[in-house]
Amino acid sequence: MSSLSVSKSAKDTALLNRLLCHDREALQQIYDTCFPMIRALVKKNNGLEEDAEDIFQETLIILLERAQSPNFNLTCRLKTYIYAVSRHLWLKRLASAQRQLPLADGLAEWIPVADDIAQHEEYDQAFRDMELALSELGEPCRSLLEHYYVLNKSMAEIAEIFGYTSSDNAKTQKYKCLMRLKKIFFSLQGRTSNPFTKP
Amino acid sequence: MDMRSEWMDRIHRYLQGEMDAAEEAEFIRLCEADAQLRRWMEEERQFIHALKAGFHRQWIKESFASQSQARLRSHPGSSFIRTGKEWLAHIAVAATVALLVSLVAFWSFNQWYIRPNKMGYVDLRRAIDNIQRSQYALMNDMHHNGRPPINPGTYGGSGFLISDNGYLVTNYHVIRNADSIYVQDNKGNAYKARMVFQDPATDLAVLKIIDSNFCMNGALPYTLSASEAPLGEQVFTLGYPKDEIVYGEGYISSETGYRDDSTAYQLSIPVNPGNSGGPLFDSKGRIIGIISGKQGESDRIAFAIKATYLKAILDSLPNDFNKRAILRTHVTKNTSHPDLHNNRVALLKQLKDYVMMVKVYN
Repeated sequence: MSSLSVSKSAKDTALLNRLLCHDREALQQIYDTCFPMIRALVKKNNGLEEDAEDIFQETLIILLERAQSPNFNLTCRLKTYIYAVSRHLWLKRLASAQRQLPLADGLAEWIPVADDIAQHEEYDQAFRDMELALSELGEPCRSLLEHYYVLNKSMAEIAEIFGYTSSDNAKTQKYKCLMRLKKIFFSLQGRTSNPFTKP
Repeated sequence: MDMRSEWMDRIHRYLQGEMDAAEEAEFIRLCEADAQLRRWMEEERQFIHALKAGFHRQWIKESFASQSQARLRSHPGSSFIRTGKEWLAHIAVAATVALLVSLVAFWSFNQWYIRPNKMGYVDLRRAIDNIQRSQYALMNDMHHNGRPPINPGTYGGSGFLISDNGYLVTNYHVIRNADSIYVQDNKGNAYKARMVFQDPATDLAVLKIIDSNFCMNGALPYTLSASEAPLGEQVFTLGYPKDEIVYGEGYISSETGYRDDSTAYQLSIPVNPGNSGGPLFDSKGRIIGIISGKQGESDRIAFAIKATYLKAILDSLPNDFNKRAILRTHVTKNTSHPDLHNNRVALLKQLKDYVMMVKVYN
């Protein structure tokens, strides 16, 4: 492996890490570099602009969910991974609409993303429930949890941002918010079959 | 259950990678020994994983919903724009936030940025109170010249013409927050004016008279001085601390202004609220500055912005502004006659037609 490709993969990892803590610039960068080819792929294969956008959003959600787990390993360029996931998702959608056209590019053989997508889809309903639970949670709880778990802020920083007198107070507040979220989430989970166990 | 909640904070700190090495080693050791703790940890790990994934879903969707029209979609070739109701809500929220932010920014800018807002520095715009209003109303009646507003305005200052087509300079602090601006010459004729340039940093503003019946007879009787005036230079000013034009005389007492501000002169000259924006002339009748403020506790210590800073903004003015009129080096009018400089009374008779009262309504 040449030094050039090492630095490129390091750049991709850095970009992915920025994306994981919801950096808008990183998202813009990925959109600018990746969306045109997804759009071309979808439009060339019986899709509309909206389909391309849906597929791209879905791809990013899967990417983020997969990438946050510690054993995720990017084995190719980020751009390629995104393309492969989008392509897979689009093929599946075509298949379900029974208008499948073969995409004979041999990509599936050398970028195996099927596992990642399958793993994501196993818990997809849980993630959707969580999304709903988070929007039902209300503020400041939602933002507080976001700052801690996604934006990786320390309790001291959170205390300052949200105006708590000490990081211990912020911690207590975070605990209460988490408990409330769990309550909402597991009650939503109760309505659907779920892979999560109730504590 | 209580046992579990006691452990939860530690589990979450471990999973977020917040523990230091020693604490982490200790925690891993505890986990290895305790099957119950390992089960809890696995459940929390799954929950946090779902929590983050839920946040990711929200973030991606929000970014595309609220940002895509403005930024994400700006990529060339994507001309498709959705106009569904769900987008409108996001756009409305974004627009409201943008509006609030700009209002707050504007407010705090006005509160803190402008430079006369310093301890001990008093800017000289005049608040016109009720007594002054009534005097003023009488004066308007006497002049009877048509349309000038009956209301004397909320604040007043001074200004002076810098072109033959109605451009005039005053202080930014005089016209800030103005809803409408009128200027009035020493004969009592009022004209509607519009702000065409403002620079809060130097505290300068340029107005343009937009009344069609404004007409100036002849060239400006003064120019901008090309150089800085020396210490001790004899200076004089004209301004409107009251409804009639007022002459004041003094000297440059320091080449720097309030707190060593090198953009201003310190003067020993009597000025009062209403003098702000008035011209500062040197002994030869050239403009060397713009009166802007005084030191609070003193009646004679005043400050004027150096004319160089006025010169610097002339290029930013609209195209129909002719800067040759104010920058020309040779005064061609009879004001250049040496006798006139020796005769201050005759000179002032010339100059006072070009110094105007600025009235601000808000």
